Amino acid sequence: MSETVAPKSALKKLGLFIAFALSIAFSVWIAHFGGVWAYVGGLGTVAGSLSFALLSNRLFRREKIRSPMRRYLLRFGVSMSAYAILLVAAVSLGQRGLADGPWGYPIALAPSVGVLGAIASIGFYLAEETDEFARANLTQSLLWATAGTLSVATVWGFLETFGKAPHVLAWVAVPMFAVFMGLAQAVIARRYR
Amino acid sequence: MKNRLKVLRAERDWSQADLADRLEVSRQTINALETGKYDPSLPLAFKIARLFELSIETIFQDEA
Repeated sequence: MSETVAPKSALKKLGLFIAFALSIAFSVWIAHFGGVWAYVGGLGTVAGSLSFALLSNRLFRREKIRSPMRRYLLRFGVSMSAYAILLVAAVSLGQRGLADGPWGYPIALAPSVGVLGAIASIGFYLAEETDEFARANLTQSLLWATAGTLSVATVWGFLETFGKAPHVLAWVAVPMFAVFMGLAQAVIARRYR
Repeated sequence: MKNRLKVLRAERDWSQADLADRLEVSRQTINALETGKYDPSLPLAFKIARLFELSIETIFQDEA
């Protein structure tokens, strides 16, 4: 790549990231209005994240997305959209006191269906990806994320045991895992650049 | 591990993307292979050898 292209590409990257941050901020702001807008906002964050992934691939990789990755993005997008809808629905039902009786169980479990789907979509991708290098990189980032999440959970758990940290709900493990995975993938991508 | 992938590819006037298509892998994989940062599995090494009609040893050189 020539030297004149580099700053332009950096500018594009920054622009794309700002657009992504704005779309998320806008979705969160819209969700604030409640009712139907909460669903729109939830789906907006999913749509914003997926378009960020697709656009950054189109702009910076200049390569067609291979079919296992396409299937993964589709499954992941559907799962996360279901999660956004089910989460908003469950929270609003809970606020109306409908989660108190035995119906509380399906309501409480509903959001996790979407998250379990997202976890499964990573498993399917790993099984279907034919590119061994991509598979090796993903496996490595999954291991780093596992180590990171288990470490934080252990340290936090003991702090909590001795009353030195507030209680944290267990579903936090998934977004934490995702953050560790993202960091690991950034480091791995740098190594092979 | 050292390899002659870049030279072999240039001889045939293929881009990294061309080679990636022929081997059914991503362009990132070709880049990692050519720079010697990633060593292929035995099945992929055989696939590369078949594509270039050479033996594995003439493409990949063990530095040990």
